[in-house]
Amino acid sequence: MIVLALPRGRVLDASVAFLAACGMQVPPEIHATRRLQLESGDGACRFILVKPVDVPTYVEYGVADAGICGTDVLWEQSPDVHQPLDLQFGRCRMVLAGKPGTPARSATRIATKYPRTAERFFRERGVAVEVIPLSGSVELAPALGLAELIIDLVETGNTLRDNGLVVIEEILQCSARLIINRASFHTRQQEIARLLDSMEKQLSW
Amino acid sequence: MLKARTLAPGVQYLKDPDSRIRRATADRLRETFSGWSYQELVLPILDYAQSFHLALGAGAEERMYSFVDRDGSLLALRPDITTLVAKAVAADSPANLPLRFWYGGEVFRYENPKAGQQREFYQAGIELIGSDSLDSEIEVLLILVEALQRCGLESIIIPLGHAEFFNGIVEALNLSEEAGWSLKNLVDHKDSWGIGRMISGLDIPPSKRDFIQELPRLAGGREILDRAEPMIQNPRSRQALERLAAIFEQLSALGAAQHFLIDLAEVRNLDYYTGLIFKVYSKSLGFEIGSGGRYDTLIGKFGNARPAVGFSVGLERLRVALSAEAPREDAVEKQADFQSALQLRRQNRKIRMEQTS
Repeated sequence: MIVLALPRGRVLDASVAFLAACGMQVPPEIHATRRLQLESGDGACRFILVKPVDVPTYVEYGVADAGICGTDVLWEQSPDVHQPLDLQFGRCRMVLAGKPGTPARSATRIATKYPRTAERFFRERGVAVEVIPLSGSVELAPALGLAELIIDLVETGNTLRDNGLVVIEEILQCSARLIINRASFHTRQQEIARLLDSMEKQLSW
Repeated sequence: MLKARTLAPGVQYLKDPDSRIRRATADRLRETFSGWSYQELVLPILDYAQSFHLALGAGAEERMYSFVDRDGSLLALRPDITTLVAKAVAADSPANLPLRFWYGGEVFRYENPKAGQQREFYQAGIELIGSDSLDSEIEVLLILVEALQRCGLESIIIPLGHAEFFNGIVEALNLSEEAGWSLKNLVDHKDSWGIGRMISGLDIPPSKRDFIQELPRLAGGREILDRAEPMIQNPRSRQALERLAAIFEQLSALGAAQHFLIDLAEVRNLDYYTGLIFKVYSKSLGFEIGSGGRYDTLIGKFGNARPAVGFSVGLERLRVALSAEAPREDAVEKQADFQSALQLRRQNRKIRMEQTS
């Protein structure tokens, strides 16, 4: 049996639909249940439901053999895992945003859920900024004067607009990725190969 | 300062039974190594940082505990023991080759603690120096399996790769240094999707495209060698495949093949390894327990060039993978007076003094 870590929240429905399309017997109660561990109908797979930012941790430690997580999380955490496939759903953009016309200068304050990504993005451009880590409601920061700019995920752009912000630069195109533990790749070689085959067939790029 | 009462980051106190388990594991490894006539080499805990730069390449400084000596030269706590073995043997001109050494000791790496491995951790390993033969590789692999079995590790999974397989591909594709580096990074993450995107932007014939796309999936059993064979024309990669096939054949003949897999997409540390590369995994741990391979150019960087092959195993990782029970202690005889205690000790009996406080 292989263990698959799935992200609760925004991407869960699409993940489950994709796994079902790949021929996995995902139990229907996965959406409704409060249980955080479920088994597939044929007993071939156990699903664990965790916070999206925690998926790489479970997979890196081998508690889960594989998992589904966003490119944004992978960029921020750089976990030491295999990342074979882009699953083509859960698409969004990571952007730098602020009030219209805000320049990114030295000592600009950036509020974000992605402090390492922010730090790297500005350093590569030779700009020393002050990164303010937040865990939610990042769009509030410019209005309240906590930061001039933010780095955050954007799907439709509505939340930005409602808070009087505009996209200044796109940083990253995000989507759901399959990640695999480095040891499991070999120690559960046949099961992992089957999983990859069924997913590649479904994606058929 | 309160720091005087705080454990420094990355180090640990290893107490009974963990210390006893580690000692027992180290003993099993040592028995195996000396059973194959490997001699112990005790090496310094620190050396010039330059030695490690030379051996481990760019990026090594980020992972080293380095500090300045009184004369101003930069020293480092050893992040790797093979480098020191290489340096120690490069100065000698021994009459008889090959040389066989084993070592065990602490190494220091500035990394986040994972799977029982702190920044200070204990490695044991062997180096077989002065032979580039197939037999030297078989010998090292057999010792690895025996050592782990003696420790009681039930599931032992060792994927074999070859540095020249990937090097040959990069050369044949005539990739720029940057493109070669990107491809290596993608293969290291087995990122089929990323490779697809990368090669769609390169000027590569379609026949080769399919093969590069396939690279991350060239991992599995012995059959992977047959699958790769018709896809490969360049001589370096072909020789690598032939070598791996020969190793597998001999391991099968010796009844040891069940522990081995093939991973042609193993591309880590290609500056260091020149031929066979392998990692050691177990079903009971999500991290590698050990690694090794052939490094024919390392010793030459310090003096007389000599081919070599070896491996190291992390004892903390091994302990976690074993989740072993502590070895049983010998029976203890409690003693109240020193006279009889001394008598029993002369007979090599285990005693414990009952102190009245």
